[in-house]
This record gives sequence, C-alpha cells and structure tokens, in this order.
Amino acid sequence: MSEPVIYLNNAATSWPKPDRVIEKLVWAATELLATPGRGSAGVRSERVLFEARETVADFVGAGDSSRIIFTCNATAALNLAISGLLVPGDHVVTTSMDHNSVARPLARMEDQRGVSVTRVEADREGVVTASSVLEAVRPETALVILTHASNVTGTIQPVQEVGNGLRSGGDDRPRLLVDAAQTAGVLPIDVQASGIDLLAVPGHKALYGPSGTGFLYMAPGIVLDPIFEGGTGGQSTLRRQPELLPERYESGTPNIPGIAALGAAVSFIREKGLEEIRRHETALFDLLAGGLTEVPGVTLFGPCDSRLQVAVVSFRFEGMDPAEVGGFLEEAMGIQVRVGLHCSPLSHRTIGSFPEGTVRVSPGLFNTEDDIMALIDGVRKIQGMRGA
Amino acid sequence: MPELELVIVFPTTHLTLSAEKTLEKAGIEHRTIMKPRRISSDCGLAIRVDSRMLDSFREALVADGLLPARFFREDEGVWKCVEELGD
Repeated sequence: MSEPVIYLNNAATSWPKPDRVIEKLVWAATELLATPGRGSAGVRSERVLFEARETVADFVGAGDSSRIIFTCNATAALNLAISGLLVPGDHVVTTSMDHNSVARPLARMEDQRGVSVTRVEADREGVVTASSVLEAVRPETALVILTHASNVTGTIQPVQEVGNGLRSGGDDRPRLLVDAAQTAGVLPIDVQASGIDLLAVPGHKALYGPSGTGFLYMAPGIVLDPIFEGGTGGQSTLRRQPELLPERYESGTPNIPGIAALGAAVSFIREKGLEEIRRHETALFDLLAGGLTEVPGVTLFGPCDSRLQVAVVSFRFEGMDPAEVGGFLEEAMGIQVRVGLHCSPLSHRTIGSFPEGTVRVSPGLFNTEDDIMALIDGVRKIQGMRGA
Repeated sequence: MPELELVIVFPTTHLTLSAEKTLEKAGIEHRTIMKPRRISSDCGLAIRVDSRMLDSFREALVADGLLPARFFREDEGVWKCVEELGD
C-alpha cells in the first residue's frame, strides 16, 4: 500500500495536514533565501520566525514570545528542559505514565548526575491524582513532570491542580514541566493560568504542523543550560553562548520552512477552535470505544470515558498478538493504527499490557464516523475469523 | 518626512522585531535597517527613529520590557552612543 486509506494513527503524527500548512511549507522553502540573523537576505526569514513565535506564544498564553524556544520535536524540548535544569542532588517527581522521551533523559540524570526520581504510580486506567503527585514532593525536589495526556490510554493528568498546588510553594518551589505531546491542539493550555513553568510541544501531532517542528516554553525566571551552542547571528563576540532568549537555545540554522508552517498550523487550529476540535474527536472516541466494547474478546484499556481522556484508544484481542491485529487491519482493510509499546513501556506496565503492548487507535480532526465504522468492522472480521 | 537620525540597536533580532511591533502599535514613525557596521560588528537589524520621538519610544520600550537598548546618533561621521537603556 503506497499510502494509507484510513489513517488512525494521529497520536504518532497527524495526517493529512491542512492545505495552508503545506502551502506555507512550500512557500518558505521556495521563497526564503537565507539564515535568520545572517545578512540582509535573512531578514525575511527572521520575520517569518518572529511571526510564528508570536503566534505560538499567544496560543499557549506565554506573554513574552522570546520564551518560546523552537525545537525539532517535543522530545528535544523535553531533553532541553530536563537536562538543562537538573543538577546533582536534585529530586524529580514524575509518574508511571511517562513516555520514553521523559523516562530516558531522567534515567541518564539518575546515572550520570546523581539525580533521584520518585515515580508516582498511576492506577490501571492511567489516572494519577494531584494529591499523590504533590505528596511526593520533597524539599530537594527541583522538578515535577506531568504527561498532560497519555499516548497509550489518552488519560488526562491533573495539570491545573498540580500547578496550583506547586504555586503555593513560593520562589523555591519545584518547577512544573508538562509534556503536551497529546494535548496541544486538543485541550486548552494556558501556561500562566496553570502554573506551568516548562511546556514541551510537538508541531506534528495535534497542531497539524510538519514533522521536525516543536517548541519549549520557559517561564520567566527559568534558566537552563543549553544543549547546543554555536552561532546565533548576533552577539558574536561573546566567548560563550549569549544569555538572551531565544538565541541562547537556538544555535545554527533553524528549520525555517517547518517553523513557518507550524505558525500556519497554529493559526488553523485557532480558527477551527479547540472546542470544535474536542467535540469532533470526542464524538469519534465515543463511537469507537462503544463499538469495540461490543466485540467479544476485545479488552479496552484506559478510562474509556471521554471526559477523562483524549481520543486515544488502546485495545487487545484476547489471545492475539497486537501486531497480528494491526497487520490485518492494514493489509486487509487499509487502516493504519499503531501496535506495540508506543515508546512507553512504563505506561504498559502500569495498565497491565506489558510486554506485548496494545493496538492503539487515535482518530484526528480529519477522520470521519465512516473511518471509525470501518475500523470496528475490521475488528469484527478478526473476531469472526477467530470464531470460524 | 522627518529625518530619522537616531539609530536604536538591540542585542538580538528578536528584541529588534519586538520593538518594531511596539513602534507600529504606538504609531511612531520608524525604519528598520541593517545594523550599521560602524556601530556594531554583529549581524542583524537596527531601527531608525526621529529623535523627537525619543521619549515616547523609551516609554514604550520600558513598558514592553524590550531591553537592553542603545541609542546612537551620527556626529561628523562618527556614531556616538547617546543613551543606554537597561542592562
């Protein structure tokens, strides 16, 4: 199959992209000549980056757009936040629903910097309470990390409550890092209202931007050690990396077409409206979860309640390898899903689906009820073959 | 059209473009130029404004937190820093 007929893997990367995103990508790749900050031809590029930064900052309630650092994805943003903030002796509170993009940088911090980690256990549906997270905070806790919504079960974590709880700790309080890989573009995010100090966002998932884009928001007062150092266009005579943002964290030539298209993608999402997007995806989720529940032999993971999760459904067929299910859906039905551990073995251990993992179905903005019915029909066919 | 004889230099292009936006919002006439090499060896942009607008511009920069900034005026072929704002 050269391209998916029915794409239900939006939790990995959204597809298709809005026309305006593609158009902006092509425009920027065609028209913009040079690196921002490097010569007169780079001025247009610089303006495009500036506008995209302003758009993104406004979208997450950042206020000062210089505190938006463009990265190549959410993983890079998480690495910058974790590696840039933690020092030996620090303690981190996180949860058992972490993606490897959080778990692996933390493992390195444990091994190489002597950082200690408390992983608050979620229940079997992936739910973590704010009180359990806040109770794990110690005097030496420097960072609390929440996955806004799980990429395995869709379970939404209590960001606002934890943010409020941490805020009462004053200037020495732990910083709150939120991995918004599954929520930016679906759920409203206001970093200042929610007490979020660091927000990691991918461009290519629910924002419907191109791959190779993402950003990190850093609250005022946060200073991170940069991961990369080098040319920033200005302040060239400084021996070390400049301190001013965003240049401190953006050395080298950026992904100009990608960032331009990301700005167009965020504008698209704003025009569409998060309420409308959430309503659409919730309707598809309800249809999907309801339909799968009725198929004998199917077990669903997660809350199975659209009020408690985003539109990500993980399921297993009793006695079947998830890869067999995914293989049938793709080859016989032309349906793209994702099977296995979804780069989150911790989550699968938590919900009891380790090591085989699950079949994950993640509808997006461009999916229809017909797509969902086709998926349910495919699963019913598998059940029919098993029964035959 | 008044002569835009004052050149304002910021350490980053992001600050320069933010200042440009502030000027547009405040309706202050300005022109964005390449940073004169006799002022700074850095690449990037600077902003020219009419010195009569200096007070308004200073106020707008401070209000929006767009600092540091240095103000230059050319005097007999030499650029002189006439004011520094912020760090």
